[in-house]
Parts: sequence; C-alpha cells; structure tokens
Amino acid sequence: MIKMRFKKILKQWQLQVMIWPGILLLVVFAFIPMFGLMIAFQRYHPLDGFLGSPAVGLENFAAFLKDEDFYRVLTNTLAISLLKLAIGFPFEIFLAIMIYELKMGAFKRVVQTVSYLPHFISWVVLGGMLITWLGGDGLLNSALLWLHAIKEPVSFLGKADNYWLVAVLSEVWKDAGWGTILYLAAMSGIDPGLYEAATIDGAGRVQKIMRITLPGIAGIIALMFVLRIGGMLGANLDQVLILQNPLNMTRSEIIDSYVYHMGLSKGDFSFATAIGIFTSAVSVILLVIANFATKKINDRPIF
Amino acid sequence: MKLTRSEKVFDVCNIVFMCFFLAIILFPLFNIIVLSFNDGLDAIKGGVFLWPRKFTLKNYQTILKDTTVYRAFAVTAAKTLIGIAGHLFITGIAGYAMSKPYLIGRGMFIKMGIITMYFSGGMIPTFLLIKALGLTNTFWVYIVPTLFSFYDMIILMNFFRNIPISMEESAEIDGANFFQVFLKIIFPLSMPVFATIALFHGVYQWNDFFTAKLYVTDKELFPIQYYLYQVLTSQAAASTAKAGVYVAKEFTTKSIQLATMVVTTLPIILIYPFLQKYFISGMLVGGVKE
Amino acid sequence: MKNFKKIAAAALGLTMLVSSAAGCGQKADSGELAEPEIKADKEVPSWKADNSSADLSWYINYDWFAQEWGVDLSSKFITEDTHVNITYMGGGDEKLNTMLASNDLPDILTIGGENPIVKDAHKFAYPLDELAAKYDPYFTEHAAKKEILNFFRLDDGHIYGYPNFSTTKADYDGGMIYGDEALLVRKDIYAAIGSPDMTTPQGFLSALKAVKDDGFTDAGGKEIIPFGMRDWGSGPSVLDQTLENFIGVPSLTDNNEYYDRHADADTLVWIKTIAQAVREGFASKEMVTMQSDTKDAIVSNGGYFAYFTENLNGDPDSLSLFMKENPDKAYIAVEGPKSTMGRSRALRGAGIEGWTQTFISKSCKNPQKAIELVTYLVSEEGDTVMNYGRLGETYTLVNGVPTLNADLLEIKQSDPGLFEKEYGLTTHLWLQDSARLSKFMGLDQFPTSLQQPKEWTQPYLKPQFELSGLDSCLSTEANRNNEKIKQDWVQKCAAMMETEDDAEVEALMAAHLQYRDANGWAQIVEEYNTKIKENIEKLNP
Repeated sequence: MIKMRFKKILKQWQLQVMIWPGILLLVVFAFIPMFGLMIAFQRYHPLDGFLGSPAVGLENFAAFLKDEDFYRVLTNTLAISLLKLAIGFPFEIFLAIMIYELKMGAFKRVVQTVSYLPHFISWVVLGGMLITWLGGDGLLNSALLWLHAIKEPVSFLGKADNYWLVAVLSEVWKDAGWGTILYLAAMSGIDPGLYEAATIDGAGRVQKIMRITLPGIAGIIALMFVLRIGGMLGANLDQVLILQNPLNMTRSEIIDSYVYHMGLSKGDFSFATAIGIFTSAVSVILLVIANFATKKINDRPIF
Repeated sequence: MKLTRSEKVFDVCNIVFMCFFLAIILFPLFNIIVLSFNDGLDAIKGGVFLWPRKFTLKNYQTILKDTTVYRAFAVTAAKTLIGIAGHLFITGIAGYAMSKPYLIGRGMFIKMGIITMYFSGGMIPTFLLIKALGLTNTFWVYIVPTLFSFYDMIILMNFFRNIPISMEESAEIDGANFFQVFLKIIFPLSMPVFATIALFHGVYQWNDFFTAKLYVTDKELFPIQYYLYQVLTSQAAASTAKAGVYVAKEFTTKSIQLATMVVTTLPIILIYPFLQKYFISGMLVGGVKE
Repeated sequence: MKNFKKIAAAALGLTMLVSSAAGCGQKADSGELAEPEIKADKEVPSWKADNSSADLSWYINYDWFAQEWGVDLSSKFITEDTHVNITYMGGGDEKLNTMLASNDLPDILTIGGENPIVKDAHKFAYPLDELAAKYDPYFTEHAAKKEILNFFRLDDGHIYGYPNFSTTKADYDGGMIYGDEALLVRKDIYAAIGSPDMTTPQGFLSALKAVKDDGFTDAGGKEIIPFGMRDWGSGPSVLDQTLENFIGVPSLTDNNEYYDRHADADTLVWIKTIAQAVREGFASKEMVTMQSDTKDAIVSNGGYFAYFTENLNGDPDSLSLFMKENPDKAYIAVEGPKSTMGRSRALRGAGIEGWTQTFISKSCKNPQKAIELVTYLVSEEGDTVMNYGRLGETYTLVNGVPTLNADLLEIKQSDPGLFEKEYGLTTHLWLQDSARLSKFMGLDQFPTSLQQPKEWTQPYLKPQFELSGLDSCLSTEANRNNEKIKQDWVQKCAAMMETEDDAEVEALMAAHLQYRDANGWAQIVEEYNTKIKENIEKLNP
C-alpha cells in the first residue's frame, strides 16, 4: 500500500517538487508561529514569555463573550460586511464590465489607471478630507442642496444611522477601481471569436455581456465571492479609526476596532488573540460553507 | 464596423458614466496635489481646493534635499522587483501543481492553506521566528517570508484551470516535462493573471513599512514607505510632548505630508500603464485556438 | 488527515526549539556588575575622570523619532565630554514589545511614562541607584532631584527610570511654570461687546448671545461662531477635565481619596450651560465630529469668538497665524467659567510624572558609561550643554541666565528645521529638566500668540501630583472596564451636546453614572485609591 503510494508520488515527482517550496514556506512562516495562539489561554506579558506567563483557561474568551457590547460590535461588523458584499462586490464587476466595453483605447487606459488611484491613498489622509467634505457645509451637502436632493444638510458622520452607508460607499469609492483588476485580467482570457460569432447572430451589447462576458468570468466571480465571505468578520480597521466619532460609535465599532481599543492599545495581547481565534474559527466555517455552496452552483469548488 | 443605434446609446451612456466616475475620483486626488504645492502654513486656513493660494515648491524641496530619501527609494525598488520575481516563481509553480486534481497531498495542502489564511500566530511569535532564522536587519526579511502566498496561489490556480488541457497534452506528447509545460505554455498563456499578481504583490512590497518597523533597525535598510510613515506620524510628536517647556519644533505641515505622499506613491502608480498591455483582451487565447 | 497530525507535531517541536533558541521567557540575571574603572567620587561626576569611551545604542519608543546622533553640535559636545557615542533607534510599542519578548534590548531605552511596561522595569532594567552607588554616586547625591528619586521608586525600593519634563513641588515654588488650559476670546469682539463677565453660566451665555446677535465676521468674511473647543478625540475635549479644573472641582476628597469629578453637581451645572450654548446655535453643528484640521482653519481665520482649549502648546500655529495677520484682533485669555459654589480655579499644570522615562537595560554593554551619560544629561552642567552648547561659543550668560547667541537664535526662529539639524540644541531632550529651562527662558519660550494666555494660567496652577499614573496602574480587568466607561462617557457627552433641554442632559449624566456602576467602577476606584495612597507616600517621604 505504502509502496504503491510512493510509486505514485515518484511518478509525479516534478509536480511534487513544484509544490514543496510553497509548503515549506507556509509551514515555517505561518505554522511555526502559531504556538503563539496559546497566549489566548494565558495572561501573557512579553517580559514573562510564553512559558512564564500564567495560564488562565478560558478567561479571555469569557471576557468578550460575556461583554454585551461585543454582540453589538459583531452585529456592526456583519452588517457592514454584508452591505459591502451587496453593494461593493457587484459594483466592482459592473465597473469592470463597463471598462471592458469602452471602445476608445486611450480613454479606456485613462479610466483604468485613474480608477485605481484612490487605492494608494492611506485612510489617514483620505479620511481627513472625507470628513471635511461630508461636513454640514462640506462639498457633498452643498452639492445635494444645490440639486435640491435634500432640504437641509445631512449629518453623515454625526448620525449613527448613517454610518454604515458612509463606510460602505467610501470604501467603494476608494477600492472599486482596484477591485476591477482581477476581473479585467479574467476578461482578457475570453476568446474574441465568441463576440464575433454573437454579433453575426445579431446579439446586442447587453446580450453579449450576459451571454459571453459574465459566464467567461464566472469562475473568478465565484472565487472572489467565497473569499469575501471568508473575510466577513474582518472589516477595515484603518477606515473605522478615522471615521469613528463619539456620535456614531454605537454603529461604527467593529471587531477589529474593538480589539484595538480593548486589547492591543493596552498591550493586552491575550485578549486580542482570544478574539482572533474566535473570529478565525467563524471565518473558516463561513468559507467552507461558501465553498460548498459554489460547488453546488458552479459544479466545482474554488479550492 | 457599423454600429447599431442601441450600440451607440450604450457607448454614450458608458462614456457619460465613466466621466462622472472619473470626476469624483479625480477631484480629491487633484486637491491633494494642489495642497502639496501650497504654502504649508497658509494651507492651515483651509479653503484651498482647485488651485494653490500661495504657490511654493518648498514642500517638495524639503523632501528631495533629504538624502535618506534616495537610499530608501533604492531599497524599495530592489525589494519590489526581487520580491515580485521570487513571489511569481514560487507561488506560480505551486499554483500550477495545485491545479492538477491528481496531485498527491492536494487536499491536505488546501486544508493547511485555509488555516493559515485565517489563523496567524501573531506579532511576537513571528518576530521570534524571524530572529531565530537570522533574518532581522537583513534585506531578505522583506523577501523570504513573502515568497509564497496561499491567497495568490488560489487565484493563479483558478486561472490555470481554465487553460484548455489539450494545449498541455500536445506539449506532453512532444516530450516536455511539467517544468517545460509551465514555462513554455502556462506562463505565456497566463500573462494577464501573472501581471495581476505582480501588481498586487508589487503594490504590497512598495507600500509595506510594517516589516521594516518591526524587524529592521539599520537605517540603511529602511524603505521609502517607512519614511512616509514617520512623516505622517510626526504630527503626533507635537501633541505627545506634555506641558513642560515649550520646545519649538520643525512643524511638519499637512502640505509636506501630502507632498511626501505624492513623491512616495508616484513611482508605483506609473508602473501600471506598463502592465496594461497584458490586459488587452483576447490577445493570447485567440491565438492559440485550435 | 494523518499527515496533518504529523506535520503539526513536527511544527510544535520545531517551535519549542525556536522559542528556546530565541531566549523566550525571562532571562536569568546577567550576573555581577563589572568593577568600576575609576574610583567613584560623590562630589565629582565620574564622566570627568573616566576617559574610556563607549558606543551605546539608545532606543526611543516613538515612531516619528528619526534623529541622528553626532551630526549636530549639541550631540558632538555631549560625546566630547562623556566619551559616549550613541546610535539612536526609533520605533513604536510593537517594536518595544517584540524586543522585550526576545530579550534583545538596546543599551538605553526611553519609553513614554504612561506605558504600563514601566511598572515592570525591574525585569528589564538595572536599578539606577545601584549603578550610581557602584560607578557614579554623583547621580544620586547631586545630579538627580530628590523628589524625583522618591517618586519614581518602584515597590522594591529601587529607581529604574528617570523622567524628562518632570516638574516637582520645588519647581512650582520657584515659579516660571505655565499651564496649558485657557478660554481664549478675540479681543476686538470682546471689547466691542463691552468686556462682559463670562465667569457665571448666565454671563457666559449672554456674552455668546451678544456675539451671535451682532453678526461679527472672521478674516474670510464668514459669520463668527461664538463658541468652540479643541477637537474631540477619544475623550470629550475640554469637557473631560479642563472645565472641571476651571471651576475648581476637587481632585481628592478630604481624606485623600479619589474624588468623583464627573458626578459633581457643579460639573453638571456647567455642562448644562455648554449644552445650552450648543442648543441655541452658539457653536458649530460639527463641534463633536470636527477634526483638528477644521478647527485649525477656523482658529487661524479668527472664526471663533471664544475658543476653549486644554492644550495651548498644541495650537501655536493657527493662533500665531491669525495674530500675525490681525494683531489688533488676536486671541487673549479671559476669566472663563468659575465655580457656582465658590471653589477656586485649579488648573492642571505640568506633573511630576513628566513625559518619558529613560532606563539602562540589563543587556547594556557598558553600564558604567551608560550611567555616566545619564548622570551627565540629568545634571545641570550636562543639561545646559544639551540646551545651550558651550559658554562663549554658542551662548553667553546675561544676568546669570544662559542666552543663546544672537545669530543662532535668528536661525532657530527662521529655520527651525535647519537649526535642529546643525545645532540640535534642546533636541536631545530625553533627560531634560524642563522646569530649569522654563525658568531660564520665562515667557520668551513661547510664540507671542501664547504669551498672554500662558501668563494668565500661572496664578491658577495647582499640580495634581497625587493623581499621577492612575490609569497605567489598573489591573487587566479594571483596564478593560475603564476603557468601556471612557467610551460611554465620551458618547454620553456627545449626546448631551444634542439635547433639547436640561432634563435630557441630567438623564444622560444619570445614565452614565449607572453604566459605570454596572461595569466595575467600584473596583476601578478602589485601585485608584491604592495608587493615590502610594503616590502620597512617595510625595511625602
């Protein structure tokens, strides 16, 4: 039995050689440090070390599971992520298709380049400007008033109820262009002959998009969907820390900022690690479910 | 080719949409550039939007006369280029092997990879590891830990799986081994996705300052983004100092910060147009149709 | 799955190997200190006699720290005197924690005094008093301040970290110490509305109303906002402590325990007053969400009539800018809110806990030279070299007070960046005695726009030494609760600024007090009291 297996491996030794550098790096740089997860069960102090810090059992887990604020934080995180999935995710695909459909080469290149520029501006810089523009006499309110879309200035950041939308839309603004890159790469693999054939059949633009472009990138859409589901519990810490204020905190505190406020900024690594283990476990479960679901729909899993 | 009426309507709508989209993206970016050319003290007063009120080149001069900037640029360029090459190779071959469903051990590797996507040991254990490996304060600390990314491998793998098997088979019949197939068939056919991963990883390498912050104390090895990070945090310096004696410090204005950002970001942005040619539709697949 | 287990086991084994190789866990004591190179003398600092030289690394725990040693004149002088050459390193808490965890420490460390790690200094640093006794007794005898040595002692009786910017009772008695909190008003408008009394809630509100009704404008022609405060961060700006300091809410009870200032009746009266001011449209609608950029823009245009700040040192640029362009309209400090119960003002002033603390680590290559350098920088002689350079060369004595040469002063004012790079005087301030420098420079240390407000604060200063380091001493659980309570406080304060009437403010205050009680407030106060008791003992040895 073992001999047969060995023979099989030997037969595909070239493939095995190709995979092992990656596996080795993964084990060294990702698995070995995982012993650090044990601090979730300790009251860890850097000076006492991993072996010298006192064990406390599940105390760190109890600390957040018993905190009623944590559930509000969890709700915020899920809500913002779901909104991002519902708005940001389709918008990226839409934008990618629209860029792909642009006929003028130069204009297309300009659009593509410009659309991903905001990705390079850090939230610290961008957030500062955003807050000014979203203010009572800021650009957005002035524009909306001028258009008679609103009767009086809206407090975008000062009202907790508006925060989720601000968070989602500002991220779409910043990262939608960047998010198109992978889809555009996938579209460049679509055989142009298919479009020619469809034109001859008399298909319109929208029909071609629905019948050729979208199916052509379905695999990548499924991949990104699954990965996004797996990332639901991690929202954008940099964004929250800059857009958060006392008036919207009830809606803006997410898991990452909660960990930052309650743990990391106080040097409480154990607490932060305990929450990390919790969110990671949930994320893996979500990912497995999503992968299973795409297998049902897409006839093969992305992994 | 003659366009039908509805095609024209579609194009016009698309162009209008894109112009609108460009405008809301470009305005803030333009504002950043304008502010970086405005006198820093004057900019405090606000109201500078579309054109500098007090034009100055001083912000840029301040940065560019600092000699540490050039060295930091060199470090960043080196780590970006070497990082991309290594990353594409290691992650690429792994992705190719993983795209074969009959790879022995594949299921286990996937499980391991998924675990590492979400569980990490954290900062301190990783530091101890990096230190034990002797990577601290070396250039290789930027490269080695990032050679392989499971996430990028999954993306590559999914692209490889779309390549018609017949292409490979014909090569195999010609006596090519897996390496040759990868280099001669897979790599050229997957230029768009390799360009994408190169861009993703290049941008990561370019922007990463945290590695330097943790593992590097040798100033000669600091990348340019660490410089930017210090400039961006230096405003905190003024407020950290508690009341005691008033120490007049050089004031890092917002304008200097933005100018630094422009200088440190521009090179990586300029790379993109060069990569764009790999995204031209159907360039390759069309040519290899049976 | 079997393979997986094997791999996991192998990883664990490797892990243990790595962690033990990296020296995880507590390092064994580094053994005996070497015998001194020279004969230690109580009356003469050892650096004068010790001609051996050393290269030491000095870590400063701030991300923005990017200075070099040996480039500017000041550090060259210090190396000349002490024969110690420094390699500076900078970094943040992440770096500090990883260095501590791997036991790979530089020779000298400077860490913010609020960092909880300073409580555990005995695990990573040499006791300065022991080093001094062995190598450089001048440190404890003459260089260091007695009050500081007493106050910074840890439970084991040793002193590990020496502070900078620490201001003692004796310093206060000597004068020339200034506060950081003030209510600033535009003097032209203040005069135009008849210099009203703004010390009572009614007077405060009617002054703001007068400004609003008269329709004054700022430098850009916009309508004046009658009232503003410094931007809110994680706390409610001046509402957190400054307002209470202004109205003199006590910080300790009669039997020296923690006084619950937020729950004080007088605090509520004034918070209601400010909430009313906001309600009546005397403040910006964005007061709570405003960022420092916007605030700076308003102040530099003279857009506020009254501007309440808890950090004068943090606002010099916008205030100076407005003053330079509108000298007759500049901001001045006036008597702001006063107690409605007859208490007298008690502004905070600089504390004895100072800003940072500097340690000599247990991995120090040469503890003798390190303590010599510390002694030098702490002593008046070294501190003066650091701040002023060499007598006759870079400064002269005018009436016994060091005064920078005119040409250097000129560079310092016109190009502070160049001055820092070339001369670096006052740059290497990690062991600076700020009170001494403040005494030398008096009001001249401040830009003109701050001089009147700074002078105004002086008579009202009442140091709160007893409250030093309360938050950094909390236990893990109390710390988490404290963070929650602080978050609730800032949120409730923000809500108070959006109320319809006084009753709502009262309800919010009551809700906050209730929230505190439900989230371990009693334990926090208990821990505070222990620390206060400790502080008082150290202040009165």
